[in-house]
Amino acid sequence: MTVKSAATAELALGNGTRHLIHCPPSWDHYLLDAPSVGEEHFVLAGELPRAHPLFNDGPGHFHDAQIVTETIREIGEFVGHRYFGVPQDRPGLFFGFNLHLTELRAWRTDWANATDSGTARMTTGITAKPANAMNGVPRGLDFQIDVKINDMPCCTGTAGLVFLMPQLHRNHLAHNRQALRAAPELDDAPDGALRPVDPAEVGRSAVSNVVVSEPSESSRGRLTTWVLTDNPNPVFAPEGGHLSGTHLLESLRQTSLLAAGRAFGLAPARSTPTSSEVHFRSYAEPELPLRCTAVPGALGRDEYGRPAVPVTLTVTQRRRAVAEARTTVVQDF
Amino acid sequence: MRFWILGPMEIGGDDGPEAGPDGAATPAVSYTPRAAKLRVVLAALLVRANEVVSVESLIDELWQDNPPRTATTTLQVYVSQLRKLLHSADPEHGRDTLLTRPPGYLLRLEPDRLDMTTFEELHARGRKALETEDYASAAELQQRAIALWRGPLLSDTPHGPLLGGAAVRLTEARMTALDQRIRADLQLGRHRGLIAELQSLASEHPLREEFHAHLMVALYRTGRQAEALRTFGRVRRTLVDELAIEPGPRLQRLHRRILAGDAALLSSGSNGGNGGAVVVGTATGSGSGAADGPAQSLPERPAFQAVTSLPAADGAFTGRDAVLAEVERLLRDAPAGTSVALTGKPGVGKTALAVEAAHRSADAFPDGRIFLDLEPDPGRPLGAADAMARLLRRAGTQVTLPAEAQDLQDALRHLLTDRRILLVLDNATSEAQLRPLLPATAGSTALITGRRLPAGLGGVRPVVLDALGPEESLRLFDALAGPGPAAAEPAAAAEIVELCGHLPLAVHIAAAQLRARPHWTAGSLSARLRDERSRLTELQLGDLDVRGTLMVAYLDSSPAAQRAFRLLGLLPAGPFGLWAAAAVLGLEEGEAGRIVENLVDGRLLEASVHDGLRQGRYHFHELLRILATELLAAEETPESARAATERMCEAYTQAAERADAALTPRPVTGPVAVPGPVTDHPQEWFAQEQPALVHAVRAAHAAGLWSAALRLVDAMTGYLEAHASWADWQATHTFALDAARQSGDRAGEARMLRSLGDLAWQNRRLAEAADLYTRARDTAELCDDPYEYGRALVGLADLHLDNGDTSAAAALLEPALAALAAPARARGRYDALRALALLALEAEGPEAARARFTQCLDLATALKDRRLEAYARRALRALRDPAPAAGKPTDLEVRPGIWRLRAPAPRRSPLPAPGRLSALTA
Repeated sequence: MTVKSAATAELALGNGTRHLIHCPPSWDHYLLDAPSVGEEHFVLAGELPRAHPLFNDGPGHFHDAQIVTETIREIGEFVGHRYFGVPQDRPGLFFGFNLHLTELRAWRTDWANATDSGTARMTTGITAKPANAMNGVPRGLDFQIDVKINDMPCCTGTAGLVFLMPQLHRNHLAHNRQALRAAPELDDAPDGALRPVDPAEVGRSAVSNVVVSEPSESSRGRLTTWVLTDNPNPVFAPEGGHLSGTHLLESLRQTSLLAAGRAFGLAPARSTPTSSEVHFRSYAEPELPLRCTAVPGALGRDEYGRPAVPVTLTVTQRRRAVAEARTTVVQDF
Repeated sequence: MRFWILGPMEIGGDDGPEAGPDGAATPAVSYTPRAAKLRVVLAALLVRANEVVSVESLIDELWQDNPPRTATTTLQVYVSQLRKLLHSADPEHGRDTLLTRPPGYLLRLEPDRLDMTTFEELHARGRKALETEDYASAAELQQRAIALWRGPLLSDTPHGPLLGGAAVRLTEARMTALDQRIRADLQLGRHRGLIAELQSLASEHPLREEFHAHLMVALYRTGRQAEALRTFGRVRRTLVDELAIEPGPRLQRLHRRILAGDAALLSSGSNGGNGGAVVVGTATGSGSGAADGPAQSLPERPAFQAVTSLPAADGAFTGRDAVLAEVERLLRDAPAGTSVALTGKPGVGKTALAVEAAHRSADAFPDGRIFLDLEPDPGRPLGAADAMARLLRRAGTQVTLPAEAQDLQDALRHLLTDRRILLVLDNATSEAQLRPLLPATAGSTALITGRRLPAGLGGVRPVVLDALGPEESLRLFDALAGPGPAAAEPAAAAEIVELCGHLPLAVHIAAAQLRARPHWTAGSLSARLRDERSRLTELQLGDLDVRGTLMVAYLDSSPAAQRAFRLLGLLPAGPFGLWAAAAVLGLEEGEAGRIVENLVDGRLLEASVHDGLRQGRYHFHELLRILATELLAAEETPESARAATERMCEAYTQAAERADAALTPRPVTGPVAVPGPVTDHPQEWFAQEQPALVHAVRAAHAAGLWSAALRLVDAMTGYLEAHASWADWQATHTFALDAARQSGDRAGEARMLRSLGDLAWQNRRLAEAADLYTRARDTAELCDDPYEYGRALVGLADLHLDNGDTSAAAALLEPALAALAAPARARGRYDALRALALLALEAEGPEAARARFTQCLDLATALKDRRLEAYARRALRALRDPAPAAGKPTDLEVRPGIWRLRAPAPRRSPLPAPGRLSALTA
C-alpha cells in the first residue's frame, strides 16, 4: 500500500478539463445528501491528453494506457470522501490494479485521433463499491472500470483503494521507514553508477522520462534493473516522502517493455502492456536503491495472432517487496 | 476343486478362473486323468456323488462281464491314483474327497462343485417356476440349466451300465428342460424368436412330437399357418414311415384346431374373440399346451414379446443433463397411474429429449418402449381410438378395425397390466386424446410431449423445457456442424446460436446449413442471420423449417389469441408488463391477462418470474417475436397496426410522465392507469423500462406519430440526463428532433436541440455543444419561445465558463435571466441563476456566488425539486471551504451531479501535495 491516490494525479492530465458525472442508483441518498452504503456509478468524460510530459512522450503509436490508472487514482479518493462519507483526513491508498486492454485498435493514436477535432475522447465508466464498512464508513473502495475511446469499449479493469486513519497512516509510514533503515545487513545496492537505459528501449523519447537503469541480464531472459529515483522530472516527484505511484507504475511499464524487447526482440515503439496486474506491498524510500527484477515467460500470441510476452516483475528495496506485477506485452504492427 | 461331466470330463482346481454363476466355465488348468479307466472310476463316483458306489459296481463299470483276476487290486490302484490326482488339484482337501466306505467308495462333493448337480437344481427350480406360472423365471432357469451342457454326458469316457443309465436319465432331463423352456417362452409370447430353434430341434428329434407341436403353434401365431400344417404333415409321414403309427392324439387335436383357424390358439384365452371386434393374442398359454401337456393345467394369460419401437437415439444429442436426469428420475419412480409431460415451445427439442430419455431408461422398461406421434400430420391430431389401435399394433397385437373404443381401451389396458412398458406419446394435443392412452397400472407409464400441459389430467408430472443455455447451444452447434466452423470462428459461432435464440431446432438448421454448404463460413452465416427480416427464411433447409414449426403453434391458437400474438409483436424485445400488453391490445387488463395467459399456455409467449418491482411480466422468444412482427405486417391492416402503436406509445408516455413527475415534481395530466412501481420506484422503473421506452420512441417515429414521439422523449430527458445514458439520449432525441421538424413543432425542435446540446456538453464534445445550443437559441427565437431561448443561452454561457471566458458568459446570462423571468419559467431561471453563481465564483469570489446559490435554493424549494435543492445546498456548503491555493485544482459541481475536474498546470515543485478535489466537499 504505497500509492498516494491523488498526488501526482494533479499533473496527470495536463490542463485537460473533464466531467465526472454521478449516476445515482437511488434518488434518496442523493437527495438527502447522505453517504452511500452501496454501489455508486460514475462516468468520467474528457479527451485523452495530447501534451502530457510523460504519457505523450514516445514514438506515439499508442495512447498510454497508464492514463486509466491515473484517472482512477485521481477519482478514487475524491469519490470516497465525497460520496461515501470517508473523513477528509483519511488518505486513500491504492493497493492494487488490474487492467486489460480489450481492443488494442482503439489505443492506436492513428485510430483514436482520426476524429474531426483530431482528438480522442475517453469515457471511463466507474463503479465504486464500499468495502469493510465500520460505523457506516467504508475502510476501502473496490472499483470496476470500463473504458471507451471514441465510444469503442477498449479496456476493463479493477482497482482497490484503502482509507487509513491519519495516525495509523503515520505509524505505517514510520514503521516502514524504520524497518528499511534498521536492517543494514539486508543492504541491496547496485555495484556501480547507474546508467539510464536507452529511452527507445522503454517506449519513451526523453531521457528525463527514463526511470530504469541499464539492466544486468541472467539466464533465460531474466533481467534486473534499478529504478532511478533521483530523476529531476517533476512528473516523478515523491509523495509524502516516498516514491510516487506514477514513478513505480512507469518503472514497471518500462521494465516490461525492456524485458520483452531484450528476450524476444519485441519492438518497444510498437509494443505496449495489454494487461497488468499490480500489487503494492509497501512504500519505497526515494533515497534507497530500488531493484526491479523481470522474468519474461514464453513468447506466445494473443487472440489476433500478435506476439505476446508475459512478464513477471518484482520491485524490492533492501530485499523487502515493494510491488509485484504481471504484465503481458504485445507487439502491434 | 470342480468337476464338469455334462460333456467331456473336466477337473479344475480352485486356483483356476472363477467359474460362472452356474459353474459352467471349464478350468484353465485341467487335472482330468488321461487314462480311460481312471476316468470311468471317477465318472461313476461323480454321477453318484455323495453316494457309496460299491466295488462290484465299479468293477462292472470298468470291465463289464470280463473283469481281470486282479480287478479288486487294480481298482484299489486306480483309487489310489485318483486320490493323488485329487490331491494335486486340491492339496488341502483333495485326499479327503474320495473316501473308502464299505462296500465301496464315496466321493464327497458339495453340490455346486459338479455341473450335473447344478443342472439338476436349476432344472428343478425352473420346473417349479413353470408350475407357479412364473414364466420369465422358468425360461431363464431352464435356459441356464441347458447352457451347462457342453456335449453328451461324459462324451470322452467309456460308458458301462452305471454311466449308460445316468446318461439316459440326464439326456432326458436335458430334453425336458429344453421343452419347458420353450413352453415358458411361448407363454411369454416369444414365438417369433423360437421358430428357428424349433425347426432345428424338430429336425434333430424327428420323433419327438412335442417339439413339432411347439413349432406348429409358433408358426401359427406368427401367421404362418400353412407352414404349421406342413410341419404336421412332415411329422406324421415320419411316424408312419418309421414306426407305422399316426401322430398322438394331442398333435392331431392341434392339427384340427389350426385347420379350423381356432382364434383361441392365438391367444392366452382370456380375451380371445370378444365378438370378433378385437382379436388380441400376442401369445397363447403354452406351446403345445394349447392342446394339452404339462402347461395345459396353467391358466392362459397374456404374454408379450418385448418390443421397442423408438426412433433411433440421436448420436448428436447434447446437453440437457439436468432435465434429462429429472425426466429419467420421474420415469423410473413413476407411481401407478402417473405420467410425465414434457412441454415447451415449438422447436425446443421436446421429442428429441423424450426419445433420449426413453433410451436411457430402457432397463426400467424391459417389456418395451413404444413411440407414437399423436399428430403425424400437422393440424390433424389422431383420435383416441386411432391412437390406441396404433399403439396396440406397435406392441405386436393384432387389431381388427373397426373396433369399439372401449374394446381398444380394454385391450390396451390388458397389454400394459403387469408389464413394464413405456409409452412415448409425442405431440399430444388434448386431454381427451391422451386420457385413454395413459397406463393406470404399476410398472408402465407414459412420457408425453406437447406444447400445452395436459393440466386436466390427474397424475401428470410436468417438466417444462426451455431454450438451451448459451454454452449448451454452442456445444450442440459444434456437435452438429463439426468442429471446423466453431473452432475457426468462435465469435461467429456464438453469435449464430444467439441469433437462433438458443432454440435447438434453429441451431440444428444453422449447423445443417454449414454442413450442406461447405463454401459458407460461420461468419457468413451469422451475417445472413443478423437481419431480423430474413432470419426465419434463412433458418430453413429441406423439410426443416423454423417458421413452419413456430407457425403450427400460432395456427393452433384461437383467432383472438392469434391477433394478440401479432399485435404484441409491436412491443420491445425485452420483457413487458401486462399494462403495456393491455394498451397494445386495446383491452382492459383483466381481459388482456386472459388472452396473454392463453398465449403462454400455447407456448407462444413466456411469463417471466416476477421481477424486483413485483410486476408480472412477459416476453417473447426472439424467433417468436420475429414471427409476430412478420405476421403483423402480413395479416394486420396498417390502420390496426398504427392504432396499436399509438396506444402503446400513449401508455409508455403516460407511465414515463408519471415516473418523471415522481422524480421531479410537476403537474401531470391524463389518466392515471399506470402501474404502481412507476410512481413508487420511478428510478428503478426507468432503469427497467429504458430499452422499451427507446423502442417506443423508435416505433412512434416509424409510424409517423410525431407528437407522441416528442411527448415520450420529453418525459425521458430528465432520467437520461441524470444517468449519462448517452447512447439512448442521443438516439431518442435525434428521433424526436426529426419528429418536431416533421410536424413543424419549432418549440419542440428548439427543446430537442438544447437537450442534445446538454448531451454534447456533458460528454465534453464542446464544439458540437456550441453548435447545438446556437441552433436551439435561433430556433427558439424564431418561434418566440423565451423559455428555450433562455436555456440555450445558459448552455452557451456554460461553455464560456468552461473556457474561463467569464465576460462572454456574463453577456449571455443577463438576457437569459430576463427571458426566464416569468414565474412559469422557474426551472429555466434556476439554471440561469446556477450559471450566474458559477460566474460569480470565478469572477468575484465565493461571497458573490453565495447570493446566487441562495436564490437557486429558494427557487428549488418553491419548485419542490429536491434534486435541484440538494445541489444548491451542496454548493452553498462548498463556498464555506477555503479556496484552493494557487496551483491547486479546481473541482466544481457545475450542474447537479456533474463535476468539472480541471487540473492545474504541472508543478515545478517536487513538494508533495495534500489531497485535492476538495473544493466543494463538506
